[in-house]
Order: sequence, then structure tokens, then C-alpha cells
Amino acid sequence: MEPRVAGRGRIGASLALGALVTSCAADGAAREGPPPTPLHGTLSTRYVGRFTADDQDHDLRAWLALDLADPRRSPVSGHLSARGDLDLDGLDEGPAFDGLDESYDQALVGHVHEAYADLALGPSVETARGTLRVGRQNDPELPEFLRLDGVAYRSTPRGPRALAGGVYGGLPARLYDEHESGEAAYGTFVEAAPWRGARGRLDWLHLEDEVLLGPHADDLLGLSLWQALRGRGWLQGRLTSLEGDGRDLDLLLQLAPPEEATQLRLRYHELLTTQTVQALEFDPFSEELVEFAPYRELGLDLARELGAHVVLEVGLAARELRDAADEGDFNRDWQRGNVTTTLRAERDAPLALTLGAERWHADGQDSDALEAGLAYDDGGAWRFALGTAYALYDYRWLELEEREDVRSLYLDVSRELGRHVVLELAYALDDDELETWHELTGGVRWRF
Amino acid sequence: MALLTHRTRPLALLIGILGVLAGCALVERLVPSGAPDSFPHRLHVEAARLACAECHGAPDGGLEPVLPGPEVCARCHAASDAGLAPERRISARFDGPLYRATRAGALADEQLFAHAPHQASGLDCAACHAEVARDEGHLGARASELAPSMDACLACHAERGGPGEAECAACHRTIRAEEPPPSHASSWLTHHGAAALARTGERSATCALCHARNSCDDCHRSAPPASHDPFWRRRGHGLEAALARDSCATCHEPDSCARCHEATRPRSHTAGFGAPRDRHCLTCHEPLRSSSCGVCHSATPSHELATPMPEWHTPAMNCRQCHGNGQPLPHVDNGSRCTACHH
Repeated sequence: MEPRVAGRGRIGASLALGALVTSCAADGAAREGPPPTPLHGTLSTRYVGRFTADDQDHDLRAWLALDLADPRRSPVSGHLSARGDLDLDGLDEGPAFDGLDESYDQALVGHVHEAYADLALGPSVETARGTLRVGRQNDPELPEFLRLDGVAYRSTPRGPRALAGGVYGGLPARLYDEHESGEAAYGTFVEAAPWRGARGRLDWLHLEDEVLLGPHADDLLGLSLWQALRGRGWLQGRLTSLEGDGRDLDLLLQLAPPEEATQLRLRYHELLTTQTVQALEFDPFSEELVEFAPYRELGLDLARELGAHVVLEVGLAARELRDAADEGDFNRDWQRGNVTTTLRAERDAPLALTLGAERWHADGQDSDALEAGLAYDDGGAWRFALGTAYALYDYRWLELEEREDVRSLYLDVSRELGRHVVLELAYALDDDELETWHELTGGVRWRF
Repeated sequence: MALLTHRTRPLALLIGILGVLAGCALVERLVPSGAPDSFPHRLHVEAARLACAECHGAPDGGLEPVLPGPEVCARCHAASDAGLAPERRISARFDGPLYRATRAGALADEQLFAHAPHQASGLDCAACHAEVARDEGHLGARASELAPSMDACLACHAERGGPGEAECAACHRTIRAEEPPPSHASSWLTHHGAAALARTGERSATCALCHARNSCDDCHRSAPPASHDPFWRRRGHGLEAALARDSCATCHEPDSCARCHEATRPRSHTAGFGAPRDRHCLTCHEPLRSSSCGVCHSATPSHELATPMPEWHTPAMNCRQCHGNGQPLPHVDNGSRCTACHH
């Protein structure tokens, strides 16, 4: 379940080595299955060496994802997700490696993404009235991402309409923002299944934050609806309102009949009002990218198996600013197209060849990418992926015409060492106008 | 569209969404069967008072029900069919031994099911097929609704000690915790996130059926996307953020950007970019591109420190007539635009 295999260069994770990787990813996760022990998880450790002609950097990285008990069976359960980075060769490795990890004045940097305990409230898990969650958490169903240090209660769905609700509150937890004064987050939601195959949800989220230009207290309302289409897919919509003004609208039609050769996704997104400095969770990267101007975006993705040998994925998308006068460095009209083909000798053959192309076209800024990759996975102990990618960035940087091309080559190998341990090795070469990079990665993933 | 202001438009959109979804719900319920014929179970069960086994009973008297053939219907319909044209007789609704209608209990090839042990445990037909007896004849359109759901199966199994949700092999030929279901084929990687959040289906559609919570972290937190290579770190991410910053928000909060940008100088800020050469003036002011510089330098105080023009100077004056006598001045633009800084 290694995202590196799932895409390379500018193609993106969604295209990558196609159905082979998809099956690998699903298979890899599924292998863990329902855990038999009360304490289980994954520990990954990885050495990363980065080299240029003049500099080098050596780091050790570790991730831990830990589950305590199964919430479906135990009244008390918990989850921990954390990461640590250790600089092995000193902090001053040169400007070539400047980045997020290098922005700290310390060799060891750690982050706790989640650390919470769940308590089922009631005589048993099956009959619990609800669940109390305490600790660092984030609810992916909120209309905005919020990492919260606090308490949340969610009731068990009741009645024929599966009515449920919840409340939460605490302090926003930011992994990289060291400013902590004047912050608070709380909210509530209610959801129900109004008719068969449908689910609706209403959210209110309140955030208080002290940002560069002063304090912010923002309220977000979100209304979401999902409608299943007889097992063939679903339709979903979400409308949010920030401080009383409509913020954005999302519509999605997903048709994915489980046993048919075609899958289709049609999506529409509209940013309704200009977004600028807000509480951090609502902020559209305004400190770096200034205002976010209203736009409409329409996208279509189609995946189809053409016989037993070919899987074709095509994507088209276009974004249009609502007011052409908003066009600028960070607000643009664009069109995007991508196509990926995966070829195999037969449907479940272990060896797959993937060819991909992608093009972003925007006024004053285009990028194109080509990709070819070969992956092997027979379900046994060994897996490998070998590929190359070429990307061309063609843009005007402060009105100067510039073209930059990037060539990359990668090799990923993994070997299962027993039932629970996987050895992972990778090498990547990245050659561009500025530098030639070599990155060597090696590590062990232990699932327990 | 003049009637829709930025305040009323969201409401109109919301009404639109609700309308579309309500339409979907109606379609779910009202669209008639695509099957050529329907079968009115209710008429047979309530009016004719037939028991299920009278039509579906196994020929050998066993517990495994069968679909009735034309000869079974003929037991009652033979007399009334005698006076009808052949195309209106009940036998005309059969293709060989099969009635031309969608089967409510049709199982996918992948599923395993036997009626016998269920009936032997004391369940009658209505325990799973209660809706069938009340069906007016639109069985095809509501077939998925009339068949028992996996949730219903699991709830009953939990009560009666049947196979639980972890015992896939009891009901499925191929689906296992170790083997992804058919839905996970092809482009599943691109839409599994939306599917995980949709939760419109039943328990069979929930990730937790097979996946532990930490499996998400295995992929989503252990490594960045492959596109985030060294070039991406230095330049590519800025270019893509300029096109679709919302894609960054899939994983990143603004605090990570701020942290890195505060500590890492842009690639262009090499020797000579600042004093004494001040090469940055050319990139920022010729022409003026405040939006780029303003990313980091939103309030640069030094720009307010240029010596102001004397009060008695007017915009009509030619600066260079007195200052420099037409010779280049020690500025990066050789003194061609004095009023850019000296107001």
C-alpha cells in the first residue's frame, strides 16, 4: 500500500499503475483483516538518503499507527498515529534540502496526528447510546478538516430514519503552527436517513483563531446529502456557508457498478464567494497565495476495461473564474486532461505496463507529463515497480518565459519477510534544469 | 440570473440539490420494472390466500423453494385461460420454465445461500420476504428493496448465533478479508475516499468490515504522493498551487506552508537579490508585481523609507532634468522611474 507505486512525476496518485496498484493497495490493507489481538498496528521505519553533486542529507523516519481493541467489540478502544523524523548528520545540510523538516532547529521532530480513546456509553457495545471520544482526533465527515484536542460525543443511530447527532469541542491542534493563543473549536451535527438509500447531514462548526491580521471567530454551516443509486453508485451534494455567505458547493455523481467494466465520476465544484484570511482551518492558503477568487469547476473521470488486456482511464476537467478580472498569479482558468492505459497479458497477470499522459493548460502556465511504468505483483513475497516520467513546466515567471523539464526514474522493491514484516527499498533519480538528485530509501514495515 | 444575488444563490442551489435528490428518491420508488411482466404477489397471497409453499414448494417436498413453472400456475389458471387468446394466457408469460419478471431474491453468482437451514431453524418465508407478500407487482423496480439486506442477515445471525460479519466464507464464494470485493477493481483508488464517506449503503459498504483503522495511516500518512519529488519541493508545488490550491488542502493545512515559507527563501533569492545589488527591485517593480512579493513581504517597512519628494515638487516635473543630468543613477533601473519609490 505504497503510494510511491501509485503514481509518478506529475501524473498523480489517482492514475498511476492502474488496476494493478489498485488491487495491490486494497489487498495490502485487507491483509491486515480484523485484528485478533487487542493491540495491533503498523510501525514503519525508513532511512532516507538524499544526494546532489555538492550536498547530501541522511534522515531516519518512523511512523506508528496503533489501534487498541476493536471498537465493534470492546467498550473501550483507542487509536494513535504519530510520526518522528531524526536528522542523522546534523542540521546544516545546505540549502538544497531546505524544506518543512529542515525548518526546525532540532534534530528530532515529532508529530502526533491522532491519539484518542473511545468509550461506548451504555450496557454493551451493541446497545450503547453513543460513543465518547477523548483526545486528539479528527472527524473526516466534518465539512472542514479540523484536528481537535478535545472531547466529542456521537450518538448511535436510532429508529427507522437512523437519526444520530453529536457535539464536540476543544482546542484546534495544528502540527506546524506554533501560535496558540485565542483558539477554540466546537460544533455540532445531526444526520438521518430520510428515505431508503439516502443520508443527510447538517453541521455547524465554530472556530476562533488569532491570525496575523487579528482575531477571527468564524461559523461554518454545512448541509450534505448522499443518495445511493441501487448499488450502482451514488449521488452526493454539499453546500457550505461561512459567516452567513455561501462558501462552496460540491456535487458528485459516481457510477461504479461492482461487476461492470465501466466506472464513471462526474463532479462539479463552485467556490461561491471570495475567500481570504480566516481562522486557519478555513483559510485558503491566503498567506502564501493571497485571495481565492470564485470559480466553477467541472470534471469527468472514466475508467473502462477493454477486454482482459487493457484498462483505460480518462479524465477531463475545466475551471473557469466567475469574473475574468480575477485572473492573476494564483487564480486562473485552466483545463486539464489525462489518460492512463494499463496493459496486461491477461486480467490477473502479475506484470502490468502502464502508460500515462497529463496536460494542464492555463494562460501563462502549462505543464505536461508523460509516464511509463512496469509493475510486478504475483501476490507472493516479492513486488517491484520500475518506471520513468518526464514533466515539462512551461510558464511565465514574473513575465519571463521559462521552460523547465524534469526527468525521473524510479525503482521500488518490496519483500515480505515472514507474515508481518515487509522490507522496502527504493531508489529515485530526479534530473532537472537545476540539479540532479538521487534518493535512496530503505526500511522495514512491521504489522502487528 | 439577476434575481439571484450572492446571498440568495446558495439557497437556490440548496433547493436545487434537494430537488435532485428528492427526484432520485422518487425514481427509486416509482420507476416501473424494466422487466417485461410483473407479478402481483399481493393478489395471490391476500385475495387468493395462497401459502408460499403452494407455488414455491420443492417438488420433492424438501425445504429448498423453487420458482413455479407454467404447470404450477395452470392449476388455478387453466379454467380461466381456456377462453382467452393464446397470447393472453398465463403460459404466454413464460420463457420456457421461467416467468418473465425480475426475481426478488436473485443472488449474485458470488453469493452462497441455502433456504433449508434457515427454514429448519424455524424461520418462515416472511421473516426475510415480508415485503414480497405485499408487493403489487412492481417487483422488478423494487427487487433490491424486497430482498433481505446484509444488515438484516447479520442482525438475525447475531440474535440466533449464525455466522458473523467476520465469517465471509459462510455466505460468499470469493469475498474474504484478504481478497478485495468486486467494487475495489479498476479506479477504486481514485474514489475510495468519497465512497468511505458516502455511507449510503449498508454494512457491506463500510471499510471497517475488513480494514482496521490504522490501515488508512499505512498509506495516507507514511509517505507523500510520488509527485512530491525534489523538483516539486522547490518549485512544482507552487506552480500547481497557483492552478488549484484546493488540491493541496486534501492533505495540507495552511500552517505547513507558512512554516516552510517563513524558514526557506525562494530559489530566486540568491546572491545579489538583496543589498547592495538589490536585484529584487527589477523582479518586483519592472513591472510591479506586488502579489508575488506580497506572499512573504506583506508589509515591508523598507519600502516606506525612500526619501520623499520635496513638497513643492509637482508630478509634471522631469526628475532627470535636475537629478543626474541624464546620466545613469546608482539604482537597479538606472533611475528611469523615480516616482516608483519617491512619492
